[in-house]
Amino acid sequence: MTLKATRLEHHASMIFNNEKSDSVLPQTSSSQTDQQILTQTRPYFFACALSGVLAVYCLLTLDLIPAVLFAILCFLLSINLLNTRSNKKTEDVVSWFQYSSIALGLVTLIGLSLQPDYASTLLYVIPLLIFFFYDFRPALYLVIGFTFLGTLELYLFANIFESAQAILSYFLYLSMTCSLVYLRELRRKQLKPLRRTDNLTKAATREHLDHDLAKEIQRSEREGSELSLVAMGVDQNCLSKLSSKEKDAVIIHLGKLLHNNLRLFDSYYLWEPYEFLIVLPHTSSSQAVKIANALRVKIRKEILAGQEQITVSAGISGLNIGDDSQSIIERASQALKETMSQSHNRTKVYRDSQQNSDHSEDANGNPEGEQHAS
Amino acid sequence: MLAENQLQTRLVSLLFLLSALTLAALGIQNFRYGLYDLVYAAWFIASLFLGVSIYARFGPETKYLKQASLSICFITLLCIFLLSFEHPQEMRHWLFPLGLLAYIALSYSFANLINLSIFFVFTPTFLITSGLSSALVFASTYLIFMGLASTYAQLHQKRSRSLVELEIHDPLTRAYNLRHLEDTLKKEVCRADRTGKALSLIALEIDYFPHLQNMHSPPTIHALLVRFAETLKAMIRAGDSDYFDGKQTAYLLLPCTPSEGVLVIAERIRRTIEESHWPDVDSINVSLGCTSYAPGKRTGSEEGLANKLIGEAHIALVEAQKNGHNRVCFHHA
Repeated sequence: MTLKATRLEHHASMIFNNEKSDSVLPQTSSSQTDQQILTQTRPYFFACALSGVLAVYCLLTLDLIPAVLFAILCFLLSINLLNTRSNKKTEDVVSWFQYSSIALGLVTLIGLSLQPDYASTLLYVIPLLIFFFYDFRPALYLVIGFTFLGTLELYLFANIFESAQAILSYFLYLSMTCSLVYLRELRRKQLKPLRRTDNLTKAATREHLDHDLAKEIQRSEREGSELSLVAMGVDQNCLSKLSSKEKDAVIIHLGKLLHNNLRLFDSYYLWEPYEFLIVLPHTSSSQAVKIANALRVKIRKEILAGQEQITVSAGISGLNIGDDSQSIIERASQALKETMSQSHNRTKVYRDSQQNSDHSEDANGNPEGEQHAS
Repeated sequence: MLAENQLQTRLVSLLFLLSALTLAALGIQNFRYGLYDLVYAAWFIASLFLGVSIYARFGPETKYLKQASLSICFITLLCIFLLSFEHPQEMRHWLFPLGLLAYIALSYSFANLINLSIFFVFTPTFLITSGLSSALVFASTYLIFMGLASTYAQLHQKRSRSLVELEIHDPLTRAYNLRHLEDTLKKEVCRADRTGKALSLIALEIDYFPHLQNMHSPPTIHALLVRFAETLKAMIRAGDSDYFDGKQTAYLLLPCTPSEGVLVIAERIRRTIEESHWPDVDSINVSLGCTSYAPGKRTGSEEGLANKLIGEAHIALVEAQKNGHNRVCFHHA
């Protein structure tokens, strides 16, 4: 899930970056994934080159075992480097990184038993590497296992003076690694509730919806103004034709279009995977129909996935007396569901069931939209 | 929950303590093996580390902690350098924890400096003392290590920055902070244009606040500010929002409120604060500066307007303070 998110972030930042910066919505998109930052550091590149030089040197001096070890090391490092440079999917790259760090760990362990002189410093690289590429828990188990085997081998194979220094400083080093990782996890935990907007679509996240909407309802009650909620979803028949990559691109474009076309005080939320909820304060449901139709036509005109036109449907509900955030959301998504089940590329206002048949025609406002589009 | 820098110093102190203990243990171990020069070095560095650790944990002010850590790191580096001619195989193991410690205890650029100097000093040293292959091993592994550690540090720095950028609450009073005021004000201006209803902003300060700060201890002042923010929050209506700039000025944003309305509210706030009893300081007064924005005669962008409104509220506040404090003043264009 997180991997997918980083990939999407990358997309989103490419789309949003050419826009002028906008402080209404906090900009949180990072243009680089963590892996890219690592492999683009200069030390990494030089390490790669040096281990190659080392392998060649060992081969020349006929030290075959270290030659093989460092050839493997160089191979693993440079594969990572090439992987991030090429435009492969981030998931593949990350799983490559994970395999290669495991392989590096194994190389170190084998090297320790054969040539402790060469491999004992490699010991220090592995815990940081594993914590970098794995999630916290699996990384912890891996590092514990690695530490156990590594120190055992040091104790058995390295010369006695060196192993004393190595084991103690390794444990010290490990505690520092842990504190570095602890700091990282702490930051992640602190940042999580603060991210008010989704990186890819600039939509506010779902967790904030209830709170914000309740505030908005209170306010419209105080001011006596109207409030409408639009649930907007990509039509099923469009979605079924798209690959997952195209779907992602579509959702990012949709987010951008909403961001640019809504008023400053409107807010929109990513509700279901391909559904947005748009909160329109000071807007009656008939005005909301107009806004939704304008958006629908714009989306039909502007958003293409491949050669395919994208259409959306919208369900609208206005605020009634005694509504809370749950009931108004429910009605909007109910209206959207009905629209989508009947047809596509339509807008529909929620009515109570007995009135529903009477008003469904004037509510969908479709002909007007169609004329615009053609 | 510890404050951010408190946590940082605790962590640094703990790590220095751990390093000191490890070095002491190393010293004992080396004593048994008869490597006496290593023993002296280990105990010497351990005592220095212990000193820093105690300073970080119990020192009254830890503003020299970074400098202390930096100088200790360099001293340690020097010790290791002097010993590495005699014991190259052993000493290289001391370098990795030191490099990582630098990334945690020091700022990013200084940590890079330390690590680069380790790299450039010790690679030739190992080349001289134990041959090309050993030097190459050290160089390549140290480079991978450095790349990883610096990436960790860089990401940490980036996250810290976005933590500050994304925070919309004032840490002390839990009211919104100033940046959020600017953002909300822009939205509210746009909204006022749409609804045609006026929007008001109040800036208020506790009278003679600097004097209060001099007279009372920081915890008392903090408690007072928290109480003050709570009182304000209780007095505003649904849809209004309260802000605090982190020093002394609070703001109240009142949408849908014309200039007559804001004067009534401001006066009520002034009286409530004056009449309520405050712990420790007994009684306080506030001065309030008010301003309103009536939609329809708009010139310029939302952002400019938002800044203008904040500025006007401030001017009115200063005027209220000039006229003798404990009063409400409205900004007239």
